[in-house]
Amino acid sequence: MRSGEKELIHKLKQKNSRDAAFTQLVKMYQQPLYYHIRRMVGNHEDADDVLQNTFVKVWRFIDDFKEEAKLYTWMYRIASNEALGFLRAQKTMPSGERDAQLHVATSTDGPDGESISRKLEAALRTLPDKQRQVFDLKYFSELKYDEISEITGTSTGALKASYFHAVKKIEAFLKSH
Amino acid sequence: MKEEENSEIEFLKELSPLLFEKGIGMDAEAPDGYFEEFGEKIKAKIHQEEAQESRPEIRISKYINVRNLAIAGSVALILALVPFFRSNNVPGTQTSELVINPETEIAELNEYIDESDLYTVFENEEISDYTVSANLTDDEIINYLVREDYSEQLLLEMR
Repeated sequence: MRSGEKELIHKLKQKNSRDAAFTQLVKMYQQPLYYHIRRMVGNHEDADDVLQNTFVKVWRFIDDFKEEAKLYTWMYRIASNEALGFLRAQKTMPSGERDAQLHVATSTDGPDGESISRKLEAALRTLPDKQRQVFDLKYFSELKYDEISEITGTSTGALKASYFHAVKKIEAFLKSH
Repeated sequence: MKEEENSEIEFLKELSPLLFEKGIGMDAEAPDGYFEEFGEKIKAKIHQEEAQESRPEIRISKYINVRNLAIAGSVALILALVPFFRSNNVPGTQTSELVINPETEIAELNEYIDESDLYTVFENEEISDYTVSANLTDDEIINYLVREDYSEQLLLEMR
């Protein structure tokens, strides 16, 4: 763990320096966490809710954080679990609403650069939630397999297999659409 | 580690040239000013939740005297139990045990006595005395019947 991160954790666990340290923490991680969540849940409003829940949990449980793992992998873990929980809850949503959201994502209006991004977004939606999570952490967040393993609690071998299948499915989807 | 990274790049290039290009990002962007305001928004939310969690305790201690509350609770409990005690002490009140009136007809008895009740009766009695051996003599049987006060008619039939 880097010394800067250690110092930040130490300040977060002290009552008198907690507020300032938390502000710094939010500034450092709000964007990567936001985009990770956004790619998982699909829209800004839901991503905002999940991101807020993530930071509330970080505030509440920072005292329980064991410094065996890195701070950002711990935060990514919370964010991922919150997003997965949100997606599980969404599965009980009436199918009409879900289909409408998917329609928005697959719209091909606009220039080619935009349409391929939308297709990628649609392709991601076809993946199982956990596989999408692995793909996002590897492809977009560019984390290493051992870091993803800390976040997901899955072995690196299983992660590699999951990523492999995700890439194949996305490639097939992009070619066929 | 660099070797591993290179192999991953090659893997992606081979498996999915489209994804390898990395020109593909995601269109998703946050609204203008979102990140500038998020820090304050989340701190306000945390402080609000903490204030809500601590509020109910303050209200209770301010307006309600705990001692008086305990006394009121005890009185309420006693009042609730009075009907229960009263019904058990009044003479002639029905109890949970079945009182069989000798005048009750057999047909009515059948409604009250379950077959299992009969088994219970047999279980409770000492059956060792009633064990009938296949090798009992007539005299032994008769002696048993006499002991149990069976009718003379039955005894005569046995002889």
